[in-house]
Amino acid sequence: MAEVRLRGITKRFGEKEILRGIDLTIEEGVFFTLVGPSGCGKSTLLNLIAGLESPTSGEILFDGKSVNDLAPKERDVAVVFQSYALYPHMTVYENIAFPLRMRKTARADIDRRVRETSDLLGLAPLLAQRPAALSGGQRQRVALGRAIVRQPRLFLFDEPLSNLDARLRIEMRSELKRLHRRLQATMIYVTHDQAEAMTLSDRMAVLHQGTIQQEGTPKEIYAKPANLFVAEFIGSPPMNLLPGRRVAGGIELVRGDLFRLAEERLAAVPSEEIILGIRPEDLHLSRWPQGAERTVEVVLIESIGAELWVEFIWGGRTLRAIAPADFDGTPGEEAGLTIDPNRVHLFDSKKGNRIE
Amino acid sequence: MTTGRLLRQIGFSLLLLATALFFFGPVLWEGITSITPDAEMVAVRLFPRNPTLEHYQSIFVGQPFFRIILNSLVVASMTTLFSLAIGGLAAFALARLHFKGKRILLGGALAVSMFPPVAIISPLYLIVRALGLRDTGWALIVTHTTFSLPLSLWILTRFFEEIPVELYWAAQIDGCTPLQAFTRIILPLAAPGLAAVAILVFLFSWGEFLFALTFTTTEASRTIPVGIALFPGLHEIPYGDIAAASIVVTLPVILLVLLFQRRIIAGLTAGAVKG
Amino acid sequence: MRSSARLGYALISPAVLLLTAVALIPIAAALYLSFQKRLPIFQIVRFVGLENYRFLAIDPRFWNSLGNTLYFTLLAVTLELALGLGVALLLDRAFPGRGWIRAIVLLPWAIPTVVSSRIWEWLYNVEFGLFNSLLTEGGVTHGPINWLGDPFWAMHAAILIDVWKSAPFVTILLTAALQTIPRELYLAARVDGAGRWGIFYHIVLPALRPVILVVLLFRTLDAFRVFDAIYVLTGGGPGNTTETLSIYTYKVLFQTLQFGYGATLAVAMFFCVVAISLIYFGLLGRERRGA
Repeated sequence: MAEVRLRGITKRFGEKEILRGIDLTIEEGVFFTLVGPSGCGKSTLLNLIAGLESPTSGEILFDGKSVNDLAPKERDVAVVFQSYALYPHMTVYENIAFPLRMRKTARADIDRRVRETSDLLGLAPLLAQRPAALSGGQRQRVALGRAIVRQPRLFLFDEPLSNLDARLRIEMRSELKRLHRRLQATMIYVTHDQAEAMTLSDRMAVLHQGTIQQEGTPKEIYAKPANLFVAEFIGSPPMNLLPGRRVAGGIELVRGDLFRLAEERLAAVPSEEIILGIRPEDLHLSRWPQGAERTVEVVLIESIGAELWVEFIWGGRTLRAIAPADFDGTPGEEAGLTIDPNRVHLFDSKKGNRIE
Repeated sequence: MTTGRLLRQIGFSLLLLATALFFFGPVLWEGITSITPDAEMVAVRLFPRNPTLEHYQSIFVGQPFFRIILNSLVVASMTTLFSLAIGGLAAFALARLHFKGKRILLGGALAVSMFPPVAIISPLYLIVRALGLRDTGWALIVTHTTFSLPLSLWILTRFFEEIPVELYWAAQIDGCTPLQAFTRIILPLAAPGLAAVAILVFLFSWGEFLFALTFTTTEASRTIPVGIALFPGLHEIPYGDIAAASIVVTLPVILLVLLFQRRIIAGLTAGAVKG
Repeated sequence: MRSSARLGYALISPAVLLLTAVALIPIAAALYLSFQKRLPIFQIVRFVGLENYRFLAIDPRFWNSLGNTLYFTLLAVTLELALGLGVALLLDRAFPGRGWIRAIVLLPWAIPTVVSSRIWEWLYNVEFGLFNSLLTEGGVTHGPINWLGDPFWAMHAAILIDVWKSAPFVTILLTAALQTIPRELYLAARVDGAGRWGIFYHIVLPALRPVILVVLLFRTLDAFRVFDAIYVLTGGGPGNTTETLSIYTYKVLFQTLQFGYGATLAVAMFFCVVAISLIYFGLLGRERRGA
């Protein structure tokens, strides 16, 4: 298993700079996710780690040794691609056996390892089929099998679940997690789906426009997003962001409404303008405005079974809250809103970074 | 069915018939001529009263037509082989490897393909004569290969590019060098494209006239186009024999077209249509 | 990854070698020859600068052949495009036997030009040709038409052969292009009230424009360089009325053995071809940029 370190990685394609100075350490045996919107450079970064492309500058180290000059086959990494990249003219057996054949493994060993791997993934009845005859989920598992059979020191996943339907995706997510626990391998996983990143990773990094916005455990990133981008990107429904003005005693978000904040927090705010963030689950709605701090107007209620996503208007702004399933407010009517000041996030309105 | 539709169906079928007649008619007529005995040649009929094979006999027995066909076969086959091999390797490099000068190569190949061949037969002729290669098949094989390269390069590069790059990557991850990835993964998947290019190059070499005319003088190395153009005739032009020769030469072409129609079309469109 | 660059250069080297040695160097040699007076029979080899080019400018036979070539090219390419497009539209819908028809249409393109020329030569034959016998028996004409010996008919006979041979190429490319038009566009147009002509003009033609340009480029260059058909059919006659640039150049080179002036003619041809290509690339470039 490998520890992967990236130092000062930049990558330019002609005029466009895709990655601008990435520094990252991924420890041995960790399931690490690179998450970000499309175009942020995460797939490029994966290709660099795999050796499929070379960085414009910077170093990539496996276990402390630079691998910049090593071809992919010398790096001992396995990749599972979004499109699975199964060899269409080979059977499932031959697909999984291929990397072993290229390593000139003895035929008896190949056979044993291929069958072990296919048993592990439930592919045994499909060994004689060609990829074209398989379903998406089956193909995905063959791609996994081809990666696992090599016992590589590093696994790279490039959005492997995005071509599957929603239900299959959730199944495969737990299967991947189980695999990780079983193999105890270093796995680097790339996705644009923040929910996937949150459930799968031990640690993760949020990428945007070629730089790392924040790195840490899913819990850390969720609880303390480092800037506006991370705050909005992680969490579903997304965090509500409200521009406001600092005044004595708190923040004026809505005309005439003072949102009280502790003095220590206010002191840290550098300028008059500030952005306040609050997650939907930290906005508490009550059916009757009396007794609540504020009155808001309900616009839309979406039920997802276990809870309700409520869209409402407060001081001219539209916000989202999560309410328990028994909240019986109605669109067009008023409701009461309570906000816990301890659950509020503050962001610098110019630079976007978090203010503690 | 309404009369309007019926009329349109009839019109459509008539157009189809006219199209088929226009494109196939001349060939058909040549075939009919080839089995028309000399005696009946004067009276133009739709079908001869006494069809005969005397012309086919004449070209193979009386003249070395067999030799001519063999020459063409050898030249066309070797050309196809070389063009595929040289063009294929270069096309792979152009499609999947990173190096400077790709555009120069493609641009140069394009420029060569646009060149009037008449422009260079004189220097080439001098070179060929100096090298003592006049009247051998090699002069033709080398020139045909060279001038079919732009076609091979252009189409094969496109076919290789169409194979998803992830397959190439997966092969490298699985332990292949770039060349191994090429031979084990890309080549088998590009087989249809290779077949298409092979047919196009073969047809090009099979019918190439100017170089063949210039570089081959005796029957020892003559190819079909030259043979048919310079058909010997003492007093009158032996139209029956020419017809027989034309049909003999056209039959393999008909076969190729019937069997590989889709491939030929795929090859031709790969370059032009996808931009 | 620098090794991949090395591999790249290695793989393209045979192609580069062939193209340079067999094509580029002779082209350069032709350029060099064009500035020489080179008559091997008289063993004259001397540098004469632009004299050949000056002669070219006033050589009546050159201008005649250029005019013939342009006429041939213009007429042939226009007819090929029209016929090719027509057949492509005809074959656009599926019907039983379409595969056979497509094979038939493809055939003339695949047959060696020399063979096609012989086939049509036989049809054009004054005494025994099918055309003349059909025309006289059908009462359309009194006597036989001398297709290949009459200055007017000879050129058009040659053009017809080129059209017969090349329209299939146009058809194939346009058919493929037609197939890339999503069927929903046709349905949407019909819902919006477009008739057949409207659909053709507003949906089909714009979609075909880039391919048409490419096809025109290829066909124009090929027609401009026409050699095989005319050589077999008329040899440039009667009286140089079908003598195109390639034929004239060939005769100068291999009949009068003037390697210098022949090269000059060839270079002139090359520049014409470059000019034509530049025009088309300009048009294609504008097409791509969405003009």
